Amino acid sequence: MRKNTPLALVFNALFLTFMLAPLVVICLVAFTSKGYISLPTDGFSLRWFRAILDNPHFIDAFYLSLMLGFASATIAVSIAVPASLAFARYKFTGRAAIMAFFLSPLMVPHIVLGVSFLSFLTKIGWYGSFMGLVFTHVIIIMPYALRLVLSSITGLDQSAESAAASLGASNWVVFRRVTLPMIIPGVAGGWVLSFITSFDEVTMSVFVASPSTTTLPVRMYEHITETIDPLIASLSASLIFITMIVMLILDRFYGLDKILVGKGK
Amino acid sequence: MSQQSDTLSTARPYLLSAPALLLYVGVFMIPLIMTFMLSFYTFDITRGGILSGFSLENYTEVLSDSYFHKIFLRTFVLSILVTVFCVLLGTPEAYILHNMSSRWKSICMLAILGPLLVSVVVRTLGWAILIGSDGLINNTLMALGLIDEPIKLMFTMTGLVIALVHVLIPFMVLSVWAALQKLDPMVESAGQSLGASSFTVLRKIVLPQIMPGVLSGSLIVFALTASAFATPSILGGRRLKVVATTAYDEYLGTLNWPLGAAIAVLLLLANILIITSYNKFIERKYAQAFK
Amino acid sequence: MSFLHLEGLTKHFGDFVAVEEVNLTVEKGEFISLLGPSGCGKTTTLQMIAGFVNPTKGKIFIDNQDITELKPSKRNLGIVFQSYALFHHMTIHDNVAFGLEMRNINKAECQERVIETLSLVHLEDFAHRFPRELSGGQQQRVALARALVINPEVLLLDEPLSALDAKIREDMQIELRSIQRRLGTTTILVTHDQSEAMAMSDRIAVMNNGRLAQVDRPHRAYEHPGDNFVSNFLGKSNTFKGQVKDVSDGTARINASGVDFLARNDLFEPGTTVNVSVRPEKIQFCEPGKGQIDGSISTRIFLGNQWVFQVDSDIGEFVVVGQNTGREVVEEGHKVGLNWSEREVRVLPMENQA
Repeated sequence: MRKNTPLALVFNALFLTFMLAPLVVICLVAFTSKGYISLPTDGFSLRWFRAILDNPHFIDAFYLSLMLGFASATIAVSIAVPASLAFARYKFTGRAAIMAFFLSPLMVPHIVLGVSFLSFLTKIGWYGSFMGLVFTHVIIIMPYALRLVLSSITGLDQSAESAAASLGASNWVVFRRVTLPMIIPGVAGGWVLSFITSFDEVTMSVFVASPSTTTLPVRMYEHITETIDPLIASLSASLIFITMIVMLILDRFYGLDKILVGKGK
Repeated sequence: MSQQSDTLSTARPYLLSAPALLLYVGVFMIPLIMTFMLSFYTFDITRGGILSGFSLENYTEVLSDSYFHKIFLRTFVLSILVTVFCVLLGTPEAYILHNMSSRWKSICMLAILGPLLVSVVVRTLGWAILIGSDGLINNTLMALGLIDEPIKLMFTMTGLVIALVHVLIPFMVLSVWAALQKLDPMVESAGQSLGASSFTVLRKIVLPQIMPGVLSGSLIVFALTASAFATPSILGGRRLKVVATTAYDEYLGTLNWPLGAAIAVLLLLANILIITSYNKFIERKYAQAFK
Repeated sequence: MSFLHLEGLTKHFGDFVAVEEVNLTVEKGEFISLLGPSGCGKTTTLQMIAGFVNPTKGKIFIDNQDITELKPSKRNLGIVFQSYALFHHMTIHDNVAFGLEMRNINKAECQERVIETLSLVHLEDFAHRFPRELSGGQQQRVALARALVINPEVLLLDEPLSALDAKIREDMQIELRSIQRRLGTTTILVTHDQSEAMAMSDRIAVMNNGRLAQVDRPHRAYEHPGDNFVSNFLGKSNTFKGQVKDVSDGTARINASGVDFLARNDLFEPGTTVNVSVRPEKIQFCEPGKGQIDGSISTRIFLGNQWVFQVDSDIGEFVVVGQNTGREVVEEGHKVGLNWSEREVRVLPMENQA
């Protein structure tokens, strides 16, 4: 490991400024007391944060996004665990092909998924239903869930399971008492990443969200395309604060880079 | 160890992946096939909208109309520009992070990767506030007397590139960072002990070894820019249409689903083509050194 | 009668022959080592006994019962894995209690047996800690306690000490052996470390290329290796190719590149090509011309308790080991004579492989 030159440190400072500037600006603007986008030059006001609470549109969308993230992450993880077990533990015909198939939504642009889900849900009459939204989100987050769960299973020392079997445990007991507790950290990481991905998704959801099932990012997107006001800034600032707390917790338990490495490619 | 493989039945792995497989076929494959078929239908507002059948009309329209040519070309140029800037800025940043003490490293990592957890809508909003004609950058520069009239960034290629680089550069840093972690920390010292200058070590020893990370990072950035929707839509608007926003307008604006489907299919094919040929190229180039 | 019996045990993975026709009988209470280089089939053999790998052919009996088709969970064997394979999410106590729990043993007795076994391995004070809080040696002993607490029919040890430091490894060898003696548990140790196998076992079974090369008491196997492989795997040997010239009174004269070796052996017909070998510690230095062969010291290495010499001779290089008695020894470049007794010369059949 070598030391960074002063030039490198200046570069780093500029880079971090670039990364944080848009988020910091949102947080500052959110505290304005004026009716338009401006810096809070004459003191901090919570006026626009109170305004969020008076706006049921956003509150409803927030709850819907929470429930959607919760449902789709849970479904994704609970089908990713058995699938990962199959990939990690068995050699079977078509293994590589099925695995590539499960990761393939990563190769499909969300806009393409969006238009496809729109036709599909309309055709089967699920357009506007919560469950329809959940299933489409499961497809989007499955690759992430699968990657994290799979890597925690392949990293597992299999001899612990052999040990349990030799001590008299049946297959099911081995899974419940040894395998599952040992992969829980990976599964939980997969769940969190899935939840966040679902909660943040906008491109695909723009197509499948109906007026009664609009997610928060979609609602915000629609709002921004019409007007950019302090209300949307305070809402965004609130999301940034919540994300920061989640992020600090995640970083403490897993290391952010370990979780997000699963997000690339 | 495949010790259990011969004690358990061959059906088990299929049963274990069955739930996921069913879901994928039902909710992923079928919708994609439907879009593919839809792209061959026709749209005629006077005869009641979408007419099923088989016609190449939508494809000929997209491929022959200069309006669409411009949109596809713009998307391609945008993707190239964003990728180049992500490589030029993200690679050195990853290397600087790599050389930091672990405390500073984790703080900087949080600042760089944290934005990934925030919705792209929020991040784009930040740029809209910053670069709007009465945005903060312009207001500050004018207040300081550095410029006389606002610089035009909103609804320009420059503004779009800045915002998309911001949105996607974490993937680049992450990818190079992962490659740097595989680097034996002693190779740099070894290079220097053999008489190479710091710059030579960087160019001849470090860079070639992290090249696969740079390449896979650029692939991610390129593919995600090519299909980006929210950022171009908010910052580019009607004036700077890209492929994704055009498909959106066809679907939800003019309601010409078949034409939108054809655009989507072309985007998907281009995406798959670029990803697979790029992977082939990387594999061929690095097969010997990294297998 | 034999307690554990392997009958024609064979395992093929596709075309690859991992284990071929292994026949082995182990007495009750015996400590036996499966010894061999990596890939020799020793671990596969152990896994077949444990039930993790199904034999292609052959049978396994414990106490005259055929267990070949039995699931691992029904065999009642204690296994200690190379990686320890502890349950990291459970305390030491819960790790050890797991096997008893699977046997539905009541709480009070379970508690008693866990404490008893933990004190056997001197870990009774660590019951409520987690595995990650323990050192490698301690984790190893937890793994041992977990395997022993169920009173297994046979204890299987899969390279249990290979992850430990040299010093701790030696201590654990002694401790493991004394626990095994005290409990009288029939034990099979898999190892590639010949000194570990010789130090701990009643008998060693040397394996090579999936087959049993020799099964014998350690001393006997060392002094009377059955073939070239065993001779070179157990300790070092100076081996030369030669031809039997004549045999009389139970002594064979073997010519190797012009030098005659005498050996107590009448198993080979005159004219047969054989290997002759002498162990390095069985060779003494003497005045040049007064020994069996002359040579000059090319290298000399001091190891503390002993010296290792490389000696160039007309028929090739000899390795000679001498105890460090504190006196000066011959220096590099000097000419010496090499002398050995004909009782120390072993004659081994030629093999196809080196």
